[in-house]
Amino acid sequence: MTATWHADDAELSRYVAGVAGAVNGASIEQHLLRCPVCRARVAEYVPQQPLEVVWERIRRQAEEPRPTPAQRALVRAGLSGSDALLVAAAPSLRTSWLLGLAGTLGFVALSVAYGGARGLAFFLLVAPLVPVVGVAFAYGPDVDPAYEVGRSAPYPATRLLLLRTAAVLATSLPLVVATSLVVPGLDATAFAWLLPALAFSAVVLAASTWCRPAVAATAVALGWACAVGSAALVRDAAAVLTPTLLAGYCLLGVAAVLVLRLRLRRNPFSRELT
Amino acid sequence: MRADIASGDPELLAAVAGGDLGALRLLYDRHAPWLAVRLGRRCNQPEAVSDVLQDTFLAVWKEAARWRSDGEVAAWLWGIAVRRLVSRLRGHHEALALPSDDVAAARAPEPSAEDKVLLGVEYGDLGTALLRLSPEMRAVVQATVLDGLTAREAGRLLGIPENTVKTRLRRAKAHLRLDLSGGLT
Amino acid sequence: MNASPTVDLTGITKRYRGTTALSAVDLTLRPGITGLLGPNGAGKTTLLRILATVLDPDAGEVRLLGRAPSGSVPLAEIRRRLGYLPQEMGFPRSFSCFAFIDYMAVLKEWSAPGPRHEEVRRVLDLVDLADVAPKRIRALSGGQRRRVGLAQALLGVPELLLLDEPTTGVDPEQRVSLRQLLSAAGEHSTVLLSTHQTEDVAALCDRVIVLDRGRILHDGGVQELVATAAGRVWLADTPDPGARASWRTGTGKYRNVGTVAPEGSERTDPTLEDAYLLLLGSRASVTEVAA
Repeated sequence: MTATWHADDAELSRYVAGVAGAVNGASIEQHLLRCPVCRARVAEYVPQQPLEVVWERIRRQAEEPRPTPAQRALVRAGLSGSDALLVAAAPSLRTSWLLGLAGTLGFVALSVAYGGARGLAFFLLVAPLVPVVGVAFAYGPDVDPAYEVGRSAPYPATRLLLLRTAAVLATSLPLVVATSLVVPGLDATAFAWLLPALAFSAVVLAASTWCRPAVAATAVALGWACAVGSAALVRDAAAVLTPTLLAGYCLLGVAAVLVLRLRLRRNPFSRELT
Repeated sequence: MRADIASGDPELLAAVAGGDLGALRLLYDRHAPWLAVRLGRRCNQPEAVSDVLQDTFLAVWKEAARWRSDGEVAAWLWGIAVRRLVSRLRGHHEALALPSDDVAAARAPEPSAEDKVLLGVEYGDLGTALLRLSPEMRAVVQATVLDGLTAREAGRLLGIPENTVKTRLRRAKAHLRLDLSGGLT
Repeated sequence: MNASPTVDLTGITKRYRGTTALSAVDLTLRPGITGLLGPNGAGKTTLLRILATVLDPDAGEVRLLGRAPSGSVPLAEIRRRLGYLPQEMGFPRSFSCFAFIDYMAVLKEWSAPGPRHEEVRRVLDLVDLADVAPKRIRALSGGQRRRVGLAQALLGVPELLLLDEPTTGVDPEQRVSLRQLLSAAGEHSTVLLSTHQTEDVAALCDRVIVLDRGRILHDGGVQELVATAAGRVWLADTPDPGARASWRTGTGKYRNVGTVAPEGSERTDPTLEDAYLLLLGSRASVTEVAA
């Protein structure tokens, strides 16, 4: 019905000025809901400047990415906002990764609860490798698509590596510990696996100054799988955690950390093929 | 999808849902002016109007995908804007204003010939009948019927209890019915 | 006024698993735009990586922005004034343009969010991506992604700008505006533009370096290189078997590029592409150059 009716200019300008009267105003308002032509005419009477100011505010808020839950957690843990941004970008700190990890650990818990000796072997295989894989997926050319361009930036690569490693350990280790506590039948092994876990993480870090972290992590994983596998076949999977061996893992870890410190003092990662 | 100045509002909204800030800008250019005026006729604090405008378009940015292609985009935008205004004004009734010449209109019950044409087109006889209502009743009709608010929201906007809104609305409708059936002396 | 060059490489050599990517390369760069041309496998990307401090050479001396890039302090100093766009650039999953450039800005040590976000907006405006700033990068076209890469290289107005194929996949109208952008950058920075597109080099650069199999074949003015093809480009109705390369142009005639134009043939002005083809000899195929 109002398809051909449009308010005249005088009426519209009175409306914009606020003096159109209640019912005239209401009529115009109902009409504007349907008529883009008159909306454009109204726009001519409205001052631009205040609207521009509001638009700038809208634009800023629309553009800025909201901090992810991981970033917020890191800030609460004491990191600066910008460090939190960098650390949270690690693939192994994404929600999807952590969910996958929780799923895997659930599976492991079930196998320990119902699998007897084999289940235990499975747990001993997986538990120390969780942080190793997490560290390998925190940094490096295989997992960071913008790795090369990040390396040409002034932010210290060593700081990034260490921060991300710390974050990965802080998230993955408690998850595995929780799994081991929930499952009955694990005595000392419930915590003894931490030593190889930390040692192997240090080894992967140290090796990443020579080769890709993924390569180092694969080597470590295979070696450990052989160790656990052969122990399980011969006697008992827990044989990989005898006190002598535990002391050995300690030494290995300490040695790896020393090597890492030495290597990081120079220009790390600069001879890699990107 | 490329959204440009020739696109209709639904296309722009679809582009906004896909993250196109340029499309949001175009929507803003088209709709912010009239929204600002309409909001300003219900709230005399320019700062509150700016804030509501900002909140409205940020809500559009986040929820453009929710629009269900039913009716006019403009009406959808007004729905968001007026609800933001209601929650913003909750408890701050001094910010409200009825249009300043409502009083004058109440004193001049006989509409001009021009007004009659205008009202006749939009509302028919209802328009002139509306003019003969008291300002309080008209405000309630405007808030519920024209702006699409619930009685509760209208109460918040106008600073009166929900029951008062319902009472006034009932009375207003009775008035209008009587008027339209041809018998208010 | 600092007279020392921005880049000073002496005797740079780099080997990869048996092949020599760079062989005793000497290079000096000063403010302005320098083009780097060469076929695939010439060593251009290796050279840019060394300049971006991402790779160490096996031999030779590197001086960037007045310093040697060894030791963490000098390295950080150099990297602060450097911008690098690699040939292949990936983006973390699910990042928006704005979020990714923000991430790179943090890596370039912009720690305060207010000024950092201003800078992110500035570079996104420069490459015309302001409207799609909040869009996920994986939802963008190839040319737009390339521009995101270019934007991060421009953060902080770097003194040394290293660009490896910046206009790949960029459509022609965008390429024009990118040329304006790069030309403006060349006024106060040292820009090294590594590319296959001889037209970009001809349009933007005063100086061109031609690299082939790890060696520099030409290092000098663009006009100088073009002049080497003078009298060696001619048009004919049929392809000339004696020419090094010939192809049919839009006018129907065949453009022949060769060692010497035959007597009485219709000579035409050489372009940079012709000179480049001649310089590379039989190694460069026409399709490769024209890509």
